[in-house]
Amino acid sequence: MADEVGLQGDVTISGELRPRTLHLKMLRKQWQIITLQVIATVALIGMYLEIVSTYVVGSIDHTMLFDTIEVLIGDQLPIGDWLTGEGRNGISRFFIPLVLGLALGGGMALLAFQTPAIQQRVKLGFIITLIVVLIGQLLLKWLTGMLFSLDLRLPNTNELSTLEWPLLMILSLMILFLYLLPVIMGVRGIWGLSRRSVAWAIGFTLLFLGIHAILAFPLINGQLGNYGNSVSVIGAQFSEPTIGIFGLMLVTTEQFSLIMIAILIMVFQESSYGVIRYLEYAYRLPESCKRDPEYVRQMDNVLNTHLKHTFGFLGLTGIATMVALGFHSVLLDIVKDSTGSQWAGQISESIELSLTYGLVISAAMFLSIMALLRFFVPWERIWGLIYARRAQEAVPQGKEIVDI
Amino acid sequence: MWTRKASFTFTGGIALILIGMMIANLQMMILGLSFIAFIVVNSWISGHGDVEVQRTLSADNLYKGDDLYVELLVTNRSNRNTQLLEVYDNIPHEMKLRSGLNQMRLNLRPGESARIRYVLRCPLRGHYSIGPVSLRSRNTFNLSVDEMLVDHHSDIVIFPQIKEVEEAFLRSRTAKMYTGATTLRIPGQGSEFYSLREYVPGDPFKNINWKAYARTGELMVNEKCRDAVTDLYLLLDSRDIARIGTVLKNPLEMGTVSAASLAAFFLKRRDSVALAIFDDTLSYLPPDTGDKQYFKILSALAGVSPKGAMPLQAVTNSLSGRFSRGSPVFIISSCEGDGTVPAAVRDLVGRGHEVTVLSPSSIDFERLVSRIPRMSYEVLKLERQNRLTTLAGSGAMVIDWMPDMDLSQALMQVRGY
Amino acid sequence: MPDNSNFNYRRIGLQAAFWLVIFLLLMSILLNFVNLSNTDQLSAYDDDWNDMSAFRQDINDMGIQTSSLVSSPLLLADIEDPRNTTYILAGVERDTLSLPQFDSDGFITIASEDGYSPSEIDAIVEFVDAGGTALILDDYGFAGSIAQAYGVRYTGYQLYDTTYVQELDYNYIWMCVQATPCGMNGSSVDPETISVHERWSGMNGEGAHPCSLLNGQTMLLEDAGLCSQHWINGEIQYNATYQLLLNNITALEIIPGVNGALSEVSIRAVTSNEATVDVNGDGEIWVGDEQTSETPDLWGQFNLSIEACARKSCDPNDGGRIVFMSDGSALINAIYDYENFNDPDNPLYGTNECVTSNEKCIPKNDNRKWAMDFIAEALMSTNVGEEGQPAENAMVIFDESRHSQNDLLADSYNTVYFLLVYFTGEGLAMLLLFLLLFIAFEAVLIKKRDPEPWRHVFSIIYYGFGDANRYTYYAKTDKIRQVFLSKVRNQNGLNREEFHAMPARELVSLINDPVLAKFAIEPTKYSLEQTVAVVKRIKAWGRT
Repeated sequence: MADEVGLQGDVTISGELRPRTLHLKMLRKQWQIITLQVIATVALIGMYLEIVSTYVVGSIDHTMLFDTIEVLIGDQLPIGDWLTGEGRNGISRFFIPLVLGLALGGGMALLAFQTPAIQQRVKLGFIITLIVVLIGQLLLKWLTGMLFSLDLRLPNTNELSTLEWPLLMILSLMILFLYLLPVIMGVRGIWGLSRRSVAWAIGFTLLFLGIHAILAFPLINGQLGNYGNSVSVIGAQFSEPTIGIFGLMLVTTEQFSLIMIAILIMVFQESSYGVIRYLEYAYRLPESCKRDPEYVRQMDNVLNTHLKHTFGFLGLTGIATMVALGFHSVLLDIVKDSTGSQWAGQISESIELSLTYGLVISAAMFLSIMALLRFFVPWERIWGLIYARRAQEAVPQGKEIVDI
Repeated sequence: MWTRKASFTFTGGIALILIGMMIANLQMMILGLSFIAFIVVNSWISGHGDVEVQRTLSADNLYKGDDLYVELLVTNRSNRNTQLLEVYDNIPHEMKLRSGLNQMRLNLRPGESARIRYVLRCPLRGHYSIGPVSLRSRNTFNLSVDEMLVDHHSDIVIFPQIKEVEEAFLRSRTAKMYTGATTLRIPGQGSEFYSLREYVPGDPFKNINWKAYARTGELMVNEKCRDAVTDLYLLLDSRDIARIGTVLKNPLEMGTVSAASLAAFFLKRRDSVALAIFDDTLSYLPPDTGDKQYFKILSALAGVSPKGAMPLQAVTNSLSGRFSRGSPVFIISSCEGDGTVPAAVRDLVGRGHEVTVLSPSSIDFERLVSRIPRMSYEVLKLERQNRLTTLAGSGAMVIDWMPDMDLSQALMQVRGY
Repeated sequence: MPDNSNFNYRRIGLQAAFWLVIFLLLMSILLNFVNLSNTDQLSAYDDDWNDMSAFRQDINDMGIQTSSLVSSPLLLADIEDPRNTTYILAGVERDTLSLPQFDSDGFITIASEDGYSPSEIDAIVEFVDAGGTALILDDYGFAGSIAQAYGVRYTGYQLYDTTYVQELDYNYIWMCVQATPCGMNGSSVDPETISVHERWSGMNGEGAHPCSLLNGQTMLLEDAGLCSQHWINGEIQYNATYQLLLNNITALEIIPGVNGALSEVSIRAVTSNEATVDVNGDGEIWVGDEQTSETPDLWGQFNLSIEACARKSCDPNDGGRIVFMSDGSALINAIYDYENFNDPDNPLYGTNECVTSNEKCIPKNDNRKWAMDFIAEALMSTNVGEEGQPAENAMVIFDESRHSQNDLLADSYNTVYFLLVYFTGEGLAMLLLFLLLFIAFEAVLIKKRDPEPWRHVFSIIYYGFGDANRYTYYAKTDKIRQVFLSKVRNQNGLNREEFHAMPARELVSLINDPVLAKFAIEPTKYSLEQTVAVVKRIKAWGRT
């Protein structure tokens, strides 16, 4: 007896077929879109943690700032240490704030999909809460004070001191907010489908890297005095590479974390923009096309390709960057093994190769060779032939005849 | 071709590397190298491959306002994926997309096909060509874009609308001149009964009147009246002056609708219809009957466009010799800007033709697009009235056709002499 | 699609042609800038008799890392530990590329007179200021600008002295690194004139050589480290006498009244009082009490080595120091490693007259000892327990950027590096680069347009306008009159001739309307309101 047909994914319990369409409500829940958004979120978190662990932790992180403020005011900040990560070591200081940032960004994204009325209410509620928190206590104390003393007066010192807690609280939250800005904006952009937020997240990140680079510049770093010491500097001369592929050591640990930052920025950018781009395209389709199975099928193809390319190309980019950075050692070997000329000897020991110049020249050389190679290696044809051969060799499954 | 994003990425990469070297910042250099590596890696993939396109139309000819169903089949004939491919079927701007979309973003595996279906409606008559098919292959990350054209066209002819005019002719105040095949009271090929006669060998058996045979015992056959077919001549004014008005309401458009409707009516009645279109040249379709003639007339009317300033008298001088004696002539013209119209009409009337002038009121069409001062408008109208009166006085039947008037309505308002 | 494939081939062909042209242009530019020379010498990375590979090998054997600098001394700014880095410049054979840059006054200058640009000299000065040690060995090259930064000048004229090696020729001159000049006793240097290094010996009370502090200590050769050249029979026997052999030398002068970058400038070696300088370069010495056109040459005592330090002690821990020597070839293999040069059994540096015919052999000299001691003082560790050992980050950098290459690609490679370092190190070049990058970004922003998204636009907008000029004409009274009269004529079925022949009275009776009759017959002027009224009347006329 033939097996019963299993329940298909698009068939409801009542047995009605629910065909897939490109309506936003349905498309947003499609696994490819969710996957891309998750990848973007993971990349965002990874990028953020990588940057803070390289540049912020131990030098300019928020806990140090909070400590400084606490020393200045001579008191603890109202925001709990468990929230800010004070007292923890290393990158773990950022875990709870990161979760906060994700939650806030997610909340903002959720809000973006509500009706304008709800959005207005929430915003209004937030502002009112802020005002109440800020001056509520002061007003209460002051007014009751005036009421009991039956005297119209300005608030006294005791009553004004009630402003201390909310102001410090707001300051702490603002500091946290500033530190978590890329995460908040990034999450908002990914899940709220906002290009601008994604751009802000990337922009903040690059701005931070730029400012850090300027402050780390020896000429300027020297002017900062003691403050300059807190800016972590990555040296221009390199140690031996310890990370590589296929047994080839290509980059140092430092360089690897910098590469990861770059790759994760690109993964975040491409995934988030990709989602927005495809949803926008689907949104703009006329109603009949949204229901057309042909459009649905092709949308599947496009999304699957984007996923494959995100992993494939960006992974390859990371590897290519690593190889490019390690290429100078290959160059050195080539030069060393060559005729032993004066120039070969000079280059093999040249300080340029141990500084960034040689690194960059050899990396540029490698990338140029890689770019030119495509004209000489017809790999797409080769791949196509393999694919065609595979398709031919695939034996079509015959129908199984079952004896009843 | 690199997109703006790729150019920025590349320039940014170079800038980051150089600035990184300037300020000895490794992060910037690595960021720059990554950007460039990203572009290099992406340059290894190029899409498109070999794409075949096939278009199917629901019809090659349509009437104005009808829907055209188009299906475009795109097949990837190569051994590699097309990558992100945008397919866009170029359709003339005169056509309106009723449903569906003439473009699609797709990614075809080797051998895979996709169908793009859409419905068009064309509110204008004419000869159109759908195509070519534009292809744009993009990199997944929008770093490169390549455009190409598949030179695949599908031609379609949009005929003018046909209006029902039978009722108008029936209810017209004028004598019933246009009754299709006219029965002559002489024996011959036809459909109406003329008389009984004795059977002679060779008469078709189907004509034998069996009742008469039963009555008389002699073989008798039904003899029919000979049908005489009328030759109708349509003269359509397609001069430049006929373009005055909006795109859908101008003398030429109205004229083509009326010519097509009249041709349809008379051809249905098995009359033969001839069409002469005069603009900067004279195009003449000799009288004929049947669907073929109908198609020819409609095709000719579909392609007509306003140009030139040929006077009507030149037309009549050239053609009147070919006109069958006494046959009706329809002149569809605004009669503007041509002082030879009365003489031409007189000439035709003098030759014994039944002349009907169907004149779209170009002043009122002009009023749709220009602001004519009231007084000038009234005077222009008066002048037009004078003109039409002159024509009526020459012996023609004149119809002053206002823009908001239906054809059948207009035909019912024919003014006799 | 044959058209597409033809297009592709054309495109590939065009691209290939483009890149070929770019390559040829680049090659031609490089050829203009690159000076190929057949004489490559004074390089620490070549092992000819006139190169310095033996010196570099000895440094490596001491456990010190050596590096070369092929682009520009601007890179000295990136050295992380200048204190433990020694910069050696032997022979500046090539001038710098004349590129625009800021000079010391902040103005833009293009030409640099001598081998190094102002920025490069500043880089060397800053390197020394940061605690680095520099050794400048030059004679007739382009090192003058570096020397001038310290208030020292290379005269550039060949110097001859009585203390020359008679077995060779007068070009080979003995230099004793001491305060007083040494003299000859026959064919060799008079031992009685030999003294000790003024500073290294410790006779000044400060600045003693670190190996002198180990003097008398017993240790294994492996433990001698940077003082191994003084290790004799199990102990360090430091000897502060240095008798250097120089070849084809010039003279050094302290520029009077000029304060150099370092305050403590000391003369470390001088010629005898009978040295002469061939000012006019004719190979003949004509001297007199005064320098005239007949006696253009100079004679007397001249400086052969000058040292500039931050402090009088010249302690490397107290700041950097720089030593100028008036011979670029003081450390060449032939002189430095004279034993192997002269060895007939295993001549390391090719055949020479000493090897083949035991003539013109290089005599025993202290060039190697002096060079090793120079390196030892600069790079010895100051940590307790590491006496005699090199410092952790010790490095010697040989400046190879001004040595001519005899290979186009090699020279081009170095030039590319130089340009890269220039554009990322020199102030004006950085500004230019910023400008270029800005322009590039603007160009991309303005010129680079992405293709427009496809969108079908339904457009049948069309207006056929009539001749609007005629409207005013049709408002004129004459025209209205003409139209009315035509109407009258048509209404009454008259032709033109009949109508024109009709008398006015009859016309009036035909019109049968006094207002219109007057209008038709009398050519009077009518106001707008009157004309409107008349037109209305005309419109209504004939309807009843």
